[in-house]
Amino acid sequence: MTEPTTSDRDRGATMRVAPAPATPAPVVGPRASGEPFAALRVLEQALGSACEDLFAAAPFPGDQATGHDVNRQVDELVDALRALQAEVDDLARAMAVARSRREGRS
Amino acid sequence: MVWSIPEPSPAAPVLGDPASLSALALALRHGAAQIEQAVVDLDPSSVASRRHATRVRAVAREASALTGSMSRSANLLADHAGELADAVGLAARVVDRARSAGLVVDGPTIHPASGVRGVVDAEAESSRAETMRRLQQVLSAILLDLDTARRRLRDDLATERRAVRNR
Repeated sequence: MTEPTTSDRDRGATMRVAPAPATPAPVVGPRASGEPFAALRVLEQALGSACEDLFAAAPFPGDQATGHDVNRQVDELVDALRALQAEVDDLARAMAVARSRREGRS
Repeated sequence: MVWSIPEPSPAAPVLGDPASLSALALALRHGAAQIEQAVVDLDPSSVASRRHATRVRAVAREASALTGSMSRSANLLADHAGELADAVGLAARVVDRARSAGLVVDGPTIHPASGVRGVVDAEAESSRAETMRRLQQVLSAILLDLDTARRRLRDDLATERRAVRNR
């Protein structure tokens, strides 16, 4: 699987600052290489580290019922964050595959 | 040789650790801020495929909903940490005052300390009983307020959990 590289993004940035042609730029090319791979990876890491931090910060509320509810709150938030993290990872991979296919065709 | 088993130390009137609740609130706020920053950097307009752009928008929407819930949960926990800290502080003052009056706070109840306290003095005994009654009222009020705060926190957290499930 092709992973986005810094050089790809740099090349995209260079092409965006080039003088604009008379006709609109094609979708495949500069626009494709400007896709937010890095932002998706940063989001994925932020979601993962939030899950770890929440699990690490187990409080002692002093009351069993309250403790149970606080733990449930953390568990449900972490479940939702993990699901979103999986979606972000899947999206980044799908975009990388689509880009490598486009580059293979061109 | 041990002649008698020492009495167990009395239970604290208010259990809980406000600092650990605050730490969880801080972790929630920190995580939410990092995710929000990452979402700001997502630009669906730069995505070539319309299908992928739609998914990026959905991810951003869902992440924003989650960070909103994380921030609200953090506020609830931080508020409750303050209420718990107040209760712990007030209860500690009640324990100190009770001890100075020859009384013992054991969990939610106050009773006279066991053992010989001195010469029988009806006036002193009456004064101690009055102090005990007054301190017991104060302690009961502190515990009742804390119980109300805990119930409110549980209700608010349940509402947030429903919001996370139905986002």
